[in-house]
Amino acid sequence: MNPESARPSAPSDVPDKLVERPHWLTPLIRGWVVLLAVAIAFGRELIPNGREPTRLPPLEWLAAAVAAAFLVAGAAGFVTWRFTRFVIDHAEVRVDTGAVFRSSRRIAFERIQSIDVMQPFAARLFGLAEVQIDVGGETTKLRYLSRRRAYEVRDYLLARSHGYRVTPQQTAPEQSPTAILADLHASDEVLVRVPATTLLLAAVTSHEFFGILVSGLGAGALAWWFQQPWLALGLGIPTLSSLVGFVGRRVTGQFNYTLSRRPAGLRISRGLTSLTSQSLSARRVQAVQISQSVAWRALGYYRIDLEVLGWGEQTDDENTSGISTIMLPAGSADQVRVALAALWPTADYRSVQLTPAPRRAGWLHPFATPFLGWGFDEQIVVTRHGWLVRRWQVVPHVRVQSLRVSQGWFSRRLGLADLHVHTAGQQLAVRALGTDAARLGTAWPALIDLAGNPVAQEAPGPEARLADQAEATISSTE
Amino acid sequence: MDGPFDTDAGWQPLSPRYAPARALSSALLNGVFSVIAIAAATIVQPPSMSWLAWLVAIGTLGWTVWRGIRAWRWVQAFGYQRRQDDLLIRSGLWSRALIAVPYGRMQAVRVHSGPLDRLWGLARVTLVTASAESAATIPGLADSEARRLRDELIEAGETLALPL
Repeated sequence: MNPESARPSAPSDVPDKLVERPHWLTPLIRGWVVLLAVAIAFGRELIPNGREPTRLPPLEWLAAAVAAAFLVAGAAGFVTWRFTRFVIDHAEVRVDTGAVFRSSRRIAFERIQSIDVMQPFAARLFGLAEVQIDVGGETTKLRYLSRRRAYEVRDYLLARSHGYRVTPQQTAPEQSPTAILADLHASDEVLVRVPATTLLLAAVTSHEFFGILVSGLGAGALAWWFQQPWLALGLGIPTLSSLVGFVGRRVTGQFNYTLSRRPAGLRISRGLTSLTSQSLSARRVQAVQISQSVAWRALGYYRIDLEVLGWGEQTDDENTSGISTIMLPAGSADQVRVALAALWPTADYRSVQLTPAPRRAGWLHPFATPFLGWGFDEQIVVTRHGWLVRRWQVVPHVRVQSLRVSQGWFSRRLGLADLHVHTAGQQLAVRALGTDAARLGTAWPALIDLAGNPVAQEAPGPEARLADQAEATISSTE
Repeated sequence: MDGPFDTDAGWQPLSPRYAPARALSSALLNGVFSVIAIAAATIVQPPSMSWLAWLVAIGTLGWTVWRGIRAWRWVQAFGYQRRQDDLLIRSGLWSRALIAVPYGRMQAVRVHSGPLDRLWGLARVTLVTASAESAATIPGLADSEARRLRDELIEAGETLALPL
């Protein structure tokens, strides 16, 4: 794929339409939940459970009912499939659905924020995938396409939404043997890959794991104290199952985590049972948090969380649409550096000189004081805080919306102040705690100045090119 | 020693008329709680426990009166500064805050005037940025002043607008 060479071609070269229909297995997969429910409902009745056998209706009736359910579900699925169509033309994506009540949803290329390919478990069994198109928080799903086709459509849409003029054929890679466990082309540059052993080790040493463990043990000890051993057991089992569930979710969700770079941008692909391929636009990243729990200090693991415009809530696992705000589930300092360099090539958070909090900050932050610190250079603000879980927070000046210094009565007596950096996201509250007020006072003017006149950080990317293109169109019509 | 709060020069004050407005509005707001607390104190059973309820009631009432008295000091301590590229707002007596909003980050400027504000001919100006935490509000400006500030801010924001 070489978008640069494709760009000069006149719009007339581009074929008008690319019409896609969902894969013919789609109704089967969309209906599998229903079928499974039916199977379980009847299956439970058939399994002898030691109690008095329930009186079953005659077998013929049962068979007829199941067949009817199959037929109705199948017919509904077929009609839905028959009347669903994905049309991609020169300016927009259109999703037409409905036999009786027709609806047509249109998405203009310019408004596409990100395109992800998801493979839920059922779809994955049949080698199918869904394409999720995100337009400012609203998600449109194209489901299901064959996996290969889904990736092709995704690549095509990404190229188009970035302003490249390509034909559908141009995006189709010559050989597209995308691996089963990852969404990778030969042209992709793999930046970070996290092996399953690291994930497992990181999960059982994470602070979330210890959190569940400690609360479970605490409750159990309390129950023991009140001489209720059965209650202790009753508490122990849910604790154990939530521990196993947590580790399982973390490992399967982030299995084979791969951060890769391709011409269209950064991509995260991960997952064991359901495969997710998530595109990541550096322009939409508002802030980054690197964290390290107590046990991870010994192991040298770090985790990166992202604050991305439109991704919604920060999540430990993933939200309903399958998007995770974890940029790196667990990795070494080197991998953190590589991942952040991919995001912001010119900024290095480690080269920023951090000012530690004065020792008198110990009155307010008795445990965290030795670790507290903050600093900034021409590109980014870096803060450091936390005690059991240490956190580094990084915000480029370009993303700073406003700044706030607050000083309570006590910290005023101590000559301390807190700095809050406001970004467009709401999940990571970027702050520098217990800083020396006098020092903050001298740095403050420069800080505001950088927020108001940030040094351009990104090299002009495809978006900027798109803007240029739009400008060229405007000036040519004038 | 006071860090960024030091800079004395150029702070614009609020309208002095805002002090009674603030005192009244906090009296109304806290007054509701005081009334509830006093009402609760009179009906608390058993009567031997009612001293606790009275303590709470007196505490609430005291806080209401204190806030009313402090309103004048609070208004004096508040200040805003229009600078070349940004707006600074400082506020608070015991716990102080200083907010800086670059004009380029402003998405909207809102002028709001509640019924109490209108009694004194006042309005509050809020700067809206993409961040929900910004909370840059200047309360208690005279109506004409608020409108003038709004127009100036919009003009400054248009010339300096930064991409999101």
